[in-house]
Amino acid sequence: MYERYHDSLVRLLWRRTGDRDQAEDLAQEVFVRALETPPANPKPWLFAVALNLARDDGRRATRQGRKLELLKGEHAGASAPPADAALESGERTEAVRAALAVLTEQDRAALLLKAEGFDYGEIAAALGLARGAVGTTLARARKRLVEAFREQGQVSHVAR
Amino acid sequence: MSHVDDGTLNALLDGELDAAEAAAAQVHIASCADCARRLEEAKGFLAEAAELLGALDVPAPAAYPARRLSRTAKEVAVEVDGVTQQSPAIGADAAERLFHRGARAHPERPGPDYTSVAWAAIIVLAIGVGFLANEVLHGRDRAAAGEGEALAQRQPPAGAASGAPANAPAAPATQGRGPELAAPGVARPAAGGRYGPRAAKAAPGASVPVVTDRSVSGIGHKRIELAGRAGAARTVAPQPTRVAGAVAAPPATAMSASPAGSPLALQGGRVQAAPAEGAGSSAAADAVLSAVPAPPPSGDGFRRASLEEAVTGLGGTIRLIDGMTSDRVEIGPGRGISSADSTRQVVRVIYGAPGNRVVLAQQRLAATDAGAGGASREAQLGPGDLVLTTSPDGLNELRWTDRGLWLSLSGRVPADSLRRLADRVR
Repeated sequence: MYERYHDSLVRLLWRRTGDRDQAEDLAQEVFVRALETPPANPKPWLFAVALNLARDDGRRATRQGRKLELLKGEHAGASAPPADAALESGERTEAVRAALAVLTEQDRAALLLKAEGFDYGEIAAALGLARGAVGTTLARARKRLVEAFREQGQVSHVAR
Repeated sequence: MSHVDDGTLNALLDGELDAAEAAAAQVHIASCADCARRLEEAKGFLAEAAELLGALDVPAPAAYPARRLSRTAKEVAVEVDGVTQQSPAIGADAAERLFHRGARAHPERPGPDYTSVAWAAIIVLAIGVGFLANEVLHGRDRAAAGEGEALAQRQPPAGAASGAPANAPAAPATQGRGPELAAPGVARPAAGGRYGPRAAKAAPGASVPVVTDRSVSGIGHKRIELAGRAGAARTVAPQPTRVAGAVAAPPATAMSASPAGSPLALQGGRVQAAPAEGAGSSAAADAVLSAVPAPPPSGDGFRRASLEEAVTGLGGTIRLIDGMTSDRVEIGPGRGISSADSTRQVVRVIYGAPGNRVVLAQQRLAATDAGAGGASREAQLGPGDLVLTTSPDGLNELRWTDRGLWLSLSGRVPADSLRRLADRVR
């Protein structure tokens, strides 16, 4: 179970949290929990627990809140990012992360799971959705992610 | 057919529609400009979203291994090197092996430069050792001078370990970071005999056969699986006898509890779960234990230890489960298995939440047994052998020897999981 899912789990958690150490910690916590109560259907279980842990962690640290505040600040022109830098390398990563943070928990989770190769049935199992709702969820999530990211690009251009 | 909704379009693009649904959707799209346009739009969102997620600066999984483990090994190496003169049993050789173990684990990964960390660690260590030496010396002076009161606060009796945490003397700031980062020297054993030359003889109980409950089956592999799940029924009957008769042996001690906090207790010849104690009192006990130099062992003789101290007790590199963070490390008397070097201590690394531990116990084999023909007295446990002991209540244990170490991995974990964990013991 560990060999099979560890890397994928860490990658998803890293994308979700933006912090590799935290991702590894959370992944370990997931496997410890799996040791405690071996799940009947490990794949959706592991990722659902991982996403829940990441969400709880995020709430505790109010990281997302801080990021959103930063974003608002940018919208208000309070802190203009350096010209040209907004969408380059690290800045681009941050912009994607910020765009991801705009999504609802469920939309974000569906996107991240799809990126890990989950099919609709597995996404439905992990998120407690009806299988028929997964397409709609992904459609909305993809659109929102792209639009949120583009918005930030415009903000940076305006700031420039 | 009515228009195709966005969910169906995405399902179509993701290949999640069955043949009939896909055909129906495509027939409609072919005749509907609006749906065709939305399909193209969905295609664009899908591709761009995937590209954005991929841009999250995430290297391939192979490039991010258990970073914490290797970092810890290096930190330990520095600490070990820093106290080489005090403990010749773990000299530069041990430090070298520790260091390279961390470095070798993931050679493909460039990794950060640890030089500055190493220097910082050495400086911190020097300050810490100086401070602690000062504390210890002065503590002893005070004790000698009859200043018993101050010492009593500093060294509560073992039975009072969970008492008043406020009395714990200036527990180092690193205390809360877990056993691997416990301040070097804080809980260093005072006994000098541990660092002496190895005794070539085995433990007094060498003639007592420890393992009586196994069946053998070869699998044409470097490991020989013993008493797998199919053999579980055969192992069940002798189990109580083995546990009852092996109170002094690591297989049992590994799972038996110290009163200080292990969740499993040996009762009436069977290993049973004991109620987990409150985290508060456990933390208080740990704070006291880690702050008191060489606290007297209690119960089964195991007590919490820093990694560095455990390296000393074991006489070499500690094996850990790759990719997992230990809950704590304990050391106890080296009275364990018959073929072990009784001058060395048993180290157990404990993983998992209270109530469901996985315990990795280890002890150095006696010099005469460490070689190729050795390890035979642990019930013919030769190099590459893996002994699985199962019990009806779900407690499983794997034992094997590896490069001069006797190892035991136990827990209420399915045998297959235990085996996979054992594969990751490095």
